[in-house]
Amino acid sequence: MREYLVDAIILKSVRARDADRIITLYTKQHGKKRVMAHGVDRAVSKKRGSVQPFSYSKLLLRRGREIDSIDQGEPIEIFQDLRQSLEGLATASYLAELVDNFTSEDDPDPVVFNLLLDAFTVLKGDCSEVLSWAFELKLLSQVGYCPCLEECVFCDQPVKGDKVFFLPEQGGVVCNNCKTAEVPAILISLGSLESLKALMRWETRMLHQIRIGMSAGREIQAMIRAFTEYHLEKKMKSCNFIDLLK
Amino acid sequence: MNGAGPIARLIDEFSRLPGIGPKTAQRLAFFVLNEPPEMAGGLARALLDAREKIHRCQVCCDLTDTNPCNICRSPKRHSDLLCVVEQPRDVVAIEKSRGFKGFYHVLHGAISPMSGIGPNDLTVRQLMERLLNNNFKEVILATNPNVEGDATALYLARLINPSGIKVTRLAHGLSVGASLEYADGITLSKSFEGRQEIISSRS
Ligand SMILES: [Zn+2]
Ligand SMILES: [Zn+2]
Repeated sequence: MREYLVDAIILKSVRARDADRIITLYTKQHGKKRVMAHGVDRAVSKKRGSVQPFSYSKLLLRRGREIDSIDQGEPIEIFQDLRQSLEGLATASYLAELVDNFTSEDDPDPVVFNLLLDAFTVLKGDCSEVLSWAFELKLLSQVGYCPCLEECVFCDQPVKGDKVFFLPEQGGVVCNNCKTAEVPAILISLGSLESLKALMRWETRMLHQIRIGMSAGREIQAMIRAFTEYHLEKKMKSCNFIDLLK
Repeated sequence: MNGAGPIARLIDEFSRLPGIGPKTAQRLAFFVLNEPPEMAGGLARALLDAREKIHRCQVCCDLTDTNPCNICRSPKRHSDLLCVVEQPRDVVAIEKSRGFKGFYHVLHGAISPMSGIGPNDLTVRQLMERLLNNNFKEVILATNPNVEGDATALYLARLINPSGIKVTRLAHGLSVGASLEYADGITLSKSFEGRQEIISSRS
């Protein structure tokens, strides 16, 4: 069969030649996919509505020699709420960039698909930080980098005290006895540690009930960023804009 | 074929142009070589001439061969209206539609968080200085109706709102995801008529 149907969340759209665009999708059936959307920038294009970044669409794809292309498309959900505010758009960009970076093509994962779909469904301007942290922790766990927040990564004893250290390289917290000065570490309070555990456990649609104070927020942000950047071996591009909005 | 000779170099230069792949670059190179030498001479002179004489207008940042550009110097334009666009080609499209008689500001791009393009990569600083030093009553944000255009409009509205200048966005008779440069004149002038005020609050 040269044609096949996918349920796709649009991650990214990049201008190619003329009015064409290269679209990065995360599909339920095949995982991440890069496809060509011919002529979508033209006023008459019927596909355009279905390939806007951060929307959920049913797409008919056609296999090609080098790259598959979009034959037809029908938007299912465009997530109007996240488009109304800068924070919503910036966070959606960040989540999409995470998925693009931590998944490979043609490697479907229904957990990742539903995580992103749920996040876009509830994403609005407010609470976007909490949602984004929870998403990042869950996505990293799902692709094999689950942070260890209960026991010390060296001696397996439960961590005690009102301050603990998180080691991005070891992927977990360290107790006071095992902590050495040589390894890069991020200080987190016990309160922030509890918030981190809640962020990982709570369902996406319940996250708006979690309240995190400013200083805990800064610790959590620093910990998650260091963890992601360690595994990615680079900085996320959307970070710059998100930081600018604060 | 020799990889470092003049033909290879020509193909190489063509393939640096946007939307030109290696095959097309090769076709263009052989086209130039099959034409009489005057054609190549004319092309080379036009390229150099344009590059030397065209620069950004110091007022609106549009591309021009005079400074300020013809639009910025015109006494006939409405001095209380400013239209902000992404690209010089958007000015061309709007001028063709004849629906707008104010002044322009060209951003030379749009905010794209995922590509790492932020306000500092655009002419946002020049825009804010211009608003401070002139008496514009309304700023019309004519960025494209797509994610980058939306982010840019929301960001600019947040910057401009505190000054009390009215900020509006083109009505989207232009459908979602469309590009200004491909819109027809009627749609474009209608979207000017139906423009709506935007207030971008901090959440
Ligand atoms: Zn220990
Ligand atoms: Zn000018």
